[in-house]
Amino acid sequence: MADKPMFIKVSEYEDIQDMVNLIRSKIEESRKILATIDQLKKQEETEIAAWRAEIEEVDRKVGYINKTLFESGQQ
Amino acid sequence: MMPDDDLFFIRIEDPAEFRKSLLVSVRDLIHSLQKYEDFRRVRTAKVEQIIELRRVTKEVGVLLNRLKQDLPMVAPAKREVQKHRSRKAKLQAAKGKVAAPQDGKKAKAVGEVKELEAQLKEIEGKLKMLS
Repeated sequence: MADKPMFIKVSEYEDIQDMVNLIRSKIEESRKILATIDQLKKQEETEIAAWRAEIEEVDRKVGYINKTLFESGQQ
Repeated sequence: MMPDDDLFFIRIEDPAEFRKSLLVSVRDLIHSLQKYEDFRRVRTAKVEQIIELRRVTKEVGVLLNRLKQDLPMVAPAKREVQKHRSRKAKLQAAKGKVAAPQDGKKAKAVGEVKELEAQLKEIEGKLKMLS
């Protein structure tokens, strides 16, 4: 049954063609949105990395403060 | 009151460096809080894009369903009865399938997942019959 040829009315064929084109344009739109999401995800990761570096720097400074206060106190 | 003789002090070797470290720590911490705002902005933009992607994907689903209805039905002999369904019945079925995602906005996410699973099952069944 599935091997038999299929016929579509010419009037309907044009509508179907339009619909397929519309579907393809929507898929293209999805592809663009996904690229934007990917870009934003990378940006998010960069922000987190910078955030982590900042926290590490604060920790280093607090470590110095701690060392200065308590090690000099023990002398 | 405690007499001054009982007071003890701890000497800080490099007071300028000590103060500098303290100030830089506070400055970095404020920068860190500012980063939160940047991060939130990026995350909000990402969520908006994900919602948009969901909307477009649903649109594609609706269009594919319409296309499926517009094309002549190719079904195996077992499903001969389905082939002879009237055009009106086919359209009603399509409307039902198309309307489902819109109703899903109000329905819970679980209901939507079940609906998608049911649609998948139906498609898998049809694919099996075609192959």
